[in-house]
Amino acid sequence: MFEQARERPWKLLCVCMLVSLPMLASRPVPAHADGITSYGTPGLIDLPSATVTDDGFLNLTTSHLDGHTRNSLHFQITPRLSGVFRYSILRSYLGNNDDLKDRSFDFHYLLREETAAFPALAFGLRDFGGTGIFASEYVVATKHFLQSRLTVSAGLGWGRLATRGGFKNPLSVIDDGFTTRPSGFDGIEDTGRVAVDTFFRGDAAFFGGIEYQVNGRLRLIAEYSSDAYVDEVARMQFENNTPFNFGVNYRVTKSLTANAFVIGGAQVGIGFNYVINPKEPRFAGGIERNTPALQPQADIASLGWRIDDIDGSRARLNAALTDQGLRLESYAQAGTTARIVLANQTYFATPEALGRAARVMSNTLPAGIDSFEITLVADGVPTSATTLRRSDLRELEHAWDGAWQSFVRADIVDAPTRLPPDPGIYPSAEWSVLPYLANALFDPDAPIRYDYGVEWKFQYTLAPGLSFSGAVRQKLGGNLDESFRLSNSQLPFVRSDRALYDKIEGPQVGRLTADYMFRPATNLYGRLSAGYFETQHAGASAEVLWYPQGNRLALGAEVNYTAKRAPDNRLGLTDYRVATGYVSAYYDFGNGFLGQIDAGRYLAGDWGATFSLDREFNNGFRLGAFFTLTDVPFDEFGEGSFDKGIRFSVPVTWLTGDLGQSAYGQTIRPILRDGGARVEIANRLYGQVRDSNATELEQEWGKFWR
Amino acid sequence: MGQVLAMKPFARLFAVCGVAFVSVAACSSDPSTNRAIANGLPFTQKEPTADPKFLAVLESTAPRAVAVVDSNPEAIAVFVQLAVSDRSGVATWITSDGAQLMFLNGVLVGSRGFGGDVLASDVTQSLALIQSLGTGYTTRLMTLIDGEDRAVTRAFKCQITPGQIDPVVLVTLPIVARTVTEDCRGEVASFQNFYWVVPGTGEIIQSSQWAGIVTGKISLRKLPATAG
Repeated sequence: MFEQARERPWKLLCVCMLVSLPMLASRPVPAHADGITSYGTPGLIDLPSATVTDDGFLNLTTSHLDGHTRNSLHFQITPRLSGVFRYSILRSYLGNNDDLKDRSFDFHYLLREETAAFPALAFGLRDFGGTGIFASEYVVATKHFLQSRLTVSAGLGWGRLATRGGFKNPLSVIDDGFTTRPSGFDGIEDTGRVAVDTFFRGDAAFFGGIEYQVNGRLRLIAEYSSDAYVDEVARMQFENNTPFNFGVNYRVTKSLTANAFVIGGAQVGIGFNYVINPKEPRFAGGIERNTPALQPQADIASLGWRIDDIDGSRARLNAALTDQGLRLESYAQAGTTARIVLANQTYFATPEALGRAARVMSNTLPAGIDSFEITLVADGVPTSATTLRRSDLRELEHAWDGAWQSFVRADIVDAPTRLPPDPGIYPSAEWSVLPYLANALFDPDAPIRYDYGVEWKFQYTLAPGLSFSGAVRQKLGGNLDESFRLSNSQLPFVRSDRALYDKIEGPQVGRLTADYMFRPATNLYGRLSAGYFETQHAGASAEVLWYPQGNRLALGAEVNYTAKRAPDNRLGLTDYRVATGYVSAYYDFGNGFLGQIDAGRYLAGDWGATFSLDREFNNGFRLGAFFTLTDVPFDEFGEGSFDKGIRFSVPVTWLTGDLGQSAYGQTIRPILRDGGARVEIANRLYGQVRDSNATELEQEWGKFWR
Repeated sequence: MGQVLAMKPFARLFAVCGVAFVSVAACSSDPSTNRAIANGLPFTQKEPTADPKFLAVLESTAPRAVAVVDSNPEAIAVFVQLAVSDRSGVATWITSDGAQLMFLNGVLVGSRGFGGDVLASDVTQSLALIQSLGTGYTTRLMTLIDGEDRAVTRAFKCQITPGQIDPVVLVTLPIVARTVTEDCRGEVASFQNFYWVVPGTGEIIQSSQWAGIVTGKISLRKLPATAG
């Protein structure tokens, strides 16, 4: 589902964003109108509180003091746990007009919920893996009064949150080691490590504050801050005259809140917060039309369709499925069962394709056929086969619990083989010519760089599973080629010289591969690929995946032999050759949480493992994070210490409510370096076959009758 | 500009495709991509197209009705009956843009294409009291699709109360009808449905019914078979 890290087809994004803005503006507000801090986390102005946002909510926050900007993305990962990725710019922080551009991560965890008698309790880590300029830890309690209009918070902070009014760490009674805090920011090379040896160490200090909800729109905030902005005072001519900060929040729309505040009695700041609820797409369940309605069986029988007229049945079914945006690849009958092979190229939720195909079969096939076996394919390769009885469809079409009952009565099994394709189905071609937008984030010289242009994509499928595909781009404008930073990596430059590849003139071949996908045996999938996999690497790849129907666990293995492409030559290769390979485990934890571990050898020849956790909402909206640890020492890796990032993907259907399988996605890495780098392959098996696995079909079965 | 185009053949393709966007909107082998582009682009003329299934049944003598979503009263739609289930008796009605409503003897049990659709409902208890002009409490089950594509069944406690005689004029044909109120309370919503019921036959000729959280109330009136 996630495409190449930093290049995204622009496709419909702009249009869709415009369409979605009014919709997002009408989202409901959480029950407690609690605030979001200038750091993007639940809290007051700068200080945290023991509150949470609604489960799954995303908060985008931007906050500006004079010369000090924080942009944050906050995600409520579970009802208690939330995380933040933050990009901050501190003007002249490094002296000589050198700005500090800082990426940092936070965690915030609700230890206990508020009760009538006791306050809620939370703790958090702020900037635990960056430069450490905001590094702090806290424990905080919060209680609501006056029907939740008044919120009172008090807490204990360490690190930056103990730079005013600090006293000897109470934890030092446990161990003397808590008394002193190792120094923080040692230099850019030291960033990215989780500073476990500093957590809750050194002096501690009290902080607290109150928030008052005047009405539905207006909130007033006052806080006593234990953050004295010591470094900003020393390096950026900040003034910090008082521990008291004051702020006001104004809810402009249900999604957008504007903030104004005064820090330390001297620094005036403003900010905005925008909330997105992934559980509420523009139109719940979509607005697609043309839902087939079952025709009465007597009407079908009266048409006199003969069960032995297979060509006639195929022709009627083919026309009706085409009208639904579905592709009939094979039609056959076995006794009173009609068997088809179906390619879903239209519906984001596969059960919707199944449900529509089944109803269309009921309306176009002879009355003597009593069951339908639908084999789904990915690139022509069979994945799962679902058998539905005609009488069940008629019985359940309007049953109040028809969605669940129809799932229970459907037989879903693995489909290691398929019917041979009907004549004229293969070879087949798909193509598109669409605008694209590629970006590069966090270049110290220009935090956002981008290119735009037009991208030609094609796939020519010779036979089931055997295809040639590619993507060729022509840049029309942008500034990705203006990056002149040379890589200082001590490892082979497998990613860190990415910018060189954006300087090529004329069409750029992003991908050009021959692929063969196949089913070696029941529950097994295989893939062989060769060609230009991505902008920087080309070669050959083989993969196998074990993924039984309805299983939470899938296991895979992959070996690749690749050459690095020449940045200045459209199809040329360099001398850098490397064999890489991974064993992978994929696990569906339920409730939308997907875990993945890939262990093996990476592009720079380093050995290690990648750990990923994604939360995928049933409507396809997806957010996740990953990190890779390899045998490259942190010092040798360079800035960031190890590869890590966050990623998201938003289906077009989420934005528009209309049909479509495409999604807009982006992977955000604080920095792209050479350790833990993996060749990008567009059609890794798990992503190709997961949608039609029984596990996923069950979760999305609510769309069966849409 | 000519030089630029000569140097970059893809730029020319882009220009061609730009024209194609505005004219026929075909920049992909995937029809849904093309449609999304055509619908999303500003300043393009969207051709009013009627659903072929709607046109097909419009030609027939199938029953028809006019409907309006109460929150958008300027958009009046004609619905034509597309199919009647031989198992459940539920009739599926379709409008010219392809949206559908499902009724069991005039009581709304489903919708398609509105967003937040009612997938199916059990209204048998309410229907019996409405048609018989009776009084009492009923349980109504409605299965709605939510923002995560889940079919979520909600139960409502409803009070059925017959009201006054209120004649309804179908085009020029006055019909004696009695109003019935169905007052429903549930966890996610509370709503009042109104029905104009022909005494004796129990036929519902006019109604105002709740069609889910997103759509809200829909007002409907049957059209006589000769009109239209």
